[in-house]
Amino acid sequence: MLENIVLGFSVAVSATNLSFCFIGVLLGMFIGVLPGIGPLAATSLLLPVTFYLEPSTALIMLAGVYYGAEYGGSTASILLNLPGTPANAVACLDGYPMSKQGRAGVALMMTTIGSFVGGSIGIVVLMALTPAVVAFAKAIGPTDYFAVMLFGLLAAATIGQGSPARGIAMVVIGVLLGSIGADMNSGTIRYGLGIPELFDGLHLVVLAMGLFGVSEVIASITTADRQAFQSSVSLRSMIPTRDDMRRSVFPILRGTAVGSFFGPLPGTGPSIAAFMSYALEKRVARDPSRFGQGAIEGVSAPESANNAAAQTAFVPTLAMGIPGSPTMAIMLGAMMIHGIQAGPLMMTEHPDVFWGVVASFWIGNLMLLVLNIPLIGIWVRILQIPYRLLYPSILCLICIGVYSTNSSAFDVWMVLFFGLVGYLFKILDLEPAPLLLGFILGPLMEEHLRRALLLSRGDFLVFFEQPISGTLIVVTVGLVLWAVTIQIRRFMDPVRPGSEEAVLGETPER
Amino acid sequence: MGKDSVQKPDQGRGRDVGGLLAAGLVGAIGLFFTLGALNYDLGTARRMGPGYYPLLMGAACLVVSLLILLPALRRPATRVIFEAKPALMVAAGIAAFAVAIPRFGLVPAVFLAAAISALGHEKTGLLDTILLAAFLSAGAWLIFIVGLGLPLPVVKGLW
Repeated sequence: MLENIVLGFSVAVSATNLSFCFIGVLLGMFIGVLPGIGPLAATSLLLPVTFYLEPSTALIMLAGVYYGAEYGGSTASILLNLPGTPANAVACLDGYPMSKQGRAGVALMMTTIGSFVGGSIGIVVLMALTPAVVAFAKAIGPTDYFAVMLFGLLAAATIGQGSPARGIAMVVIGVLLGSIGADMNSGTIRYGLGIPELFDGLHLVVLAMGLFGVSEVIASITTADRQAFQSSVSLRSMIPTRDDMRRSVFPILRGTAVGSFFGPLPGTGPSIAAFMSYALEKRVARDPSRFGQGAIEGVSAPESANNAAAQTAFVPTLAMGIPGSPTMAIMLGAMMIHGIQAGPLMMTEHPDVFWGVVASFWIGNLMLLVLNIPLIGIWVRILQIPYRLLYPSILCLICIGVYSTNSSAFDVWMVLFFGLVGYLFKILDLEPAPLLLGFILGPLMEEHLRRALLLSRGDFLVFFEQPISGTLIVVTVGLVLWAVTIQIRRFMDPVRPGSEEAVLGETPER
Repeated sequence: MGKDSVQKPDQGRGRDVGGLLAAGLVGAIGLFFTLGALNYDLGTARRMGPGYYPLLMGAACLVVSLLILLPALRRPATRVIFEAKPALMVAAGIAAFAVAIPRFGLVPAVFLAAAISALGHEKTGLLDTILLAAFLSAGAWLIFIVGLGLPLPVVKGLW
């Protein structure tokens, strides 16, 4: 383990990697602060920039963007009550009241500290868990692998916000989009529609930029009219009182534990971890009524959970090649583009990339801590730029980014197409994020299915006969049945909002 | 993204347009892929052909569209709000970029894209638009050509 850590740091502290880590974190925070753009869109936006880089540098930068954006979203939540993403919505609950009480600086500071602690411990968990998961991954066969992927896919589709049935729809559509292009086994071009540019399949960048970037911009043009944050946040106002620090110690530790638990699980991630952590703190607090009024625990704990989950989410992605969330799917896609096969073989075949990336997490977290303090003023000023001036910039960035990958105007037209489709999805309440997960996992699943059926001579029962696969398939079927029941129940009794929605925090179906 | 859905509940009579449209869209996509899959060799379970998996998934898509359709048939009315102007202007802006960049180069393309899409917002006037577009095209030149050295034509015909 020690040589690995040394190897990792030797890779991570090269001048190039350090600078790109810095750039990644900086850009990530900057983009994360912008309303409506979360880590997913941020990583997609900067994906083309990484094409010219070495694989380890590219991943280091993207990882920096990822947790930088997570952090940036919290800043917007605290100052403006406008979460960058659902994960940051929790930060609004007590962060915004604190802001109104003039304690914005303290809230931001505790967010920073909480994120740093959560992230650091999360990295330790990551380093401890990964070898174990890798060993597990090496021991299982295509049948089990397929079952794990199917479970991950459907868990991500059904758990979280939105109606489970719609989630499943998006995941399936993602898988279908993933099948466009040349089939690896037979060479047949599927759904090519006679267009040569489609013969290699849809490009991840095009899909992500269109579905997330462009559709988000269209949707936000009318809704993102927000009040500017008037006062400035001075350095001195950021110093928390001793009471604040004392109150936050255990919440931060508990939050980290919650985050480390939910991070590696497929279908859950920083958002759920943050909500759970908030709920936990409220439950164990001596005076729960303080929550919602500006309780510091309600800010520090979820942020630790958030960041811990963001780090530990890399465990299944790196160790098994199975992304547990759409953002991880982008990471996996980025690795594939650079020719790195994430999974159990990654540690043996590309140990420098693997450990270099892990070491860069430490450095990135440190940079987050250090950068935030002087830069808060800048973030505040950015938040004051009217959206109508920001979004054309975002669009131009998307266009340039997409065009520069292949110098192909066709790609830009595809972004337009998917942007409109994505907007259509949005207004119909179809969440685009799970689609990305299906897009990445779909072809991988097909491979494992093919192998599994080859080995079993066409017998589908093999999925139930093997213990790991069997259990997972049963759980997956359970999830699907749950989704079906919800739909049937809504059909039977259309007016009463179901109690399940209240538990998940969903708005009741109309 | 955590924002309120753009559908608004309506206590009157009528249909859950949003649900019906969603079911229709998902169903159409499912149908497209399922029918398409039949064009390829399906193979057997033991030896999956290229059409096997898409057929399976396409069928699943159709089933899910029915699932979405079910409650939509009985739900009270919703209105689906489609903001035409922003959608149109953003689309036009991107189209302008796609057309302009191979013919005219980066700077004109960014200028057009920024200007056209900026007009999609009600509050943006002509002067704002031109200033913003100029700023962004200059910025794009600085960052991408000078800074990152991307091999893109700057202004076709000049350099």
